[in-house]
Amino acid sequence: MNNFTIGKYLPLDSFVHKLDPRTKIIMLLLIMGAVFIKSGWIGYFIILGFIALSLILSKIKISYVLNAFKPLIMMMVFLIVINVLVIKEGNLIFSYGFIKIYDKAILDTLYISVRLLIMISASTILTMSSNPLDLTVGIEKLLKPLGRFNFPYEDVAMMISIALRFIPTIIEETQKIMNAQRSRGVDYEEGKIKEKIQAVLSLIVPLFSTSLNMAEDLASAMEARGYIPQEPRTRYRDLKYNIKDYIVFLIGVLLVVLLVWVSYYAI
Amino acid sequence: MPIEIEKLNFIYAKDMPFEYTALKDIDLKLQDNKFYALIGKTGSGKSTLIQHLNALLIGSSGKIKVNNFEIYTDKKNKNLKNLRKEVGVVFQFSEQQLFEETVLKDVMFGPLNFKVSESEAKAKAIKYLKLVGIDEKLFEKSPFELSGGQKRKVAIAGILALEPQILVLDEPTAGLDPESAKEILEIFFSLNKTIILVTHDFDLVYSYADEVIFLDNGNLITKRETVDFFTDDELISKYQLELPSLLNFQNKLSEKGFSFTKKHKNLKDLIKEVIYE
Repeated sequence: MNNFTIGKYLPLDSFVHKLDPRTKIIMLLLIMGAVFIKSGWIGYFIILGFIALSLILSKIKISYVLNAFKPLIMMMVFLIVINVLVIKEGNLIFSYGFIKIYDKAILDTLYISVRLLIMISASTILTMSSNPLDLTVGIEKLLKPLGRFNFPYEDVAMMISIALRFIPTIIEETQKIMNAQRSRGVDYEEGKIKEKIQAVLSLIVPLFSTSLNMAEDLASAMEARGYIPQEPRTRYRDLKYNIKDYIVFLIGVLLVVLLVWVSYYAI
Repeated sequence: MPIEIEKLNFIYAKDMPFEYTALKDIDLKLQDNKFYALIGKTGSGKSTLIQHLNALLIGSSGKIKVNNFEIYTDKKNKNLKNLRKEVGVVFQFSEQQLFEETVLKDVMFGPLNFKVSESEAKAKAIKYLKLVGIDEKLFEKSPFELSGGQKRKVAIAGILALEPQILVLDEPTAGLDPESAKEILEIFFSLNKTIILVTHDFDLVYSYADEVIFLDNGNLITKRETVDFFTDDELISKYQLELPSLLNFQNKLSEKGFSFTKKHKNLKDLIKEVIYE
């Protein structure tokens, strides 16, 4: 867990880093949507090209993004195996005993993998290139229209930012407690069922108690500094769109239009 | 049954942009039944080093031998449990590790993990709870009902009940009132085990430690006899270390014309010499 780096913010100086977080969030949503437009391989190549371009512009080394895939490899393998074995459409291309593989199964599986690849890399680029604080401000601003329907958008944004802020802290606490219990002879890897339950308990109970304590301290600290949830808050740094954001936004819309066009006319 | 560390390196988050070498070529030999103080600034690698002693962290390269138990840095280690029985670690804010329903059960948890029988574990738990000064009335209470200081003592009893040969203490008294802090240190001191104490409190180091191990920025700067360490003016000024108050006091007395046969490690001895000489 020491190498927990998925989506960790990398403070670099690049075009993508300087974009407004709102722009980046909307772009991510557009890409997520675009993935589901039935535009075939041409469409996927266009999206992948777009992602490659943003990766280059963000100056993030490709190996860091690939690192984010590591924990997901098992899941992907599992998915691919299940898919290949379950889907029984198209032409039979391989058969051995009860294992029958069809060409459509392979094609569908490839589609799913590429979709996953696109979504994960796009969101990794977003979180790696945006300061978590800016990101929550962005989310808050984007949710603001919902305020008209009494949606507590500021509270939600505050909760998101606190949650993000505490992920590393909780990981660190988990590590500390695991170390303490390991020193008392707990084996988190091996053991009988009963021992395993005990091992998990020895981690969960202290983790809950420390988390609750932390939450209480944080609440007091916030109150002491005059935080009142219902009151409007001012901001030290406000977000502002500039010309770059409009351009990127335009490109995003064009991308979707292009994909829709491809889906109608090119296949 | 000594500890031998040879050319130990440890790199955090290898191959990532925030890669960081926490320990650089550490060479260290520790003898049995001595009281060592491990000192250094925050981030100097103290906590990283002690986590290597019971293989919670495995070095990137180098050799560690604890009581003839070798920890490999280049292949998978087996039977780490045996090692962890020999080396007991009391972590910073150790009260966080409490989780059982009752105080007694929590202290028994460790010994039971090391396959000690139920009755023996109970006997050990009672023995060490009493040693750290926990009243019998509290044995059946939930650890979460205790005060901060009591929790800390229960957690420490939980480690002592493992009866390790080597005790590693990471600021065991941080956040405790001076009275309890002193009580706890006296207990450790009386145990006659190899003790490695991580601390920022030089007064404690000066009165208790036989030797000082000084780390700076992941490098082992020196390991030597406590009085020797604090009287090395060049070292003290180079790293801007503060002198223990007792030594400071004795130095000031010397300036005013008192003469001493040696540096005293506790106030009583110092006063004795001043009065009777």
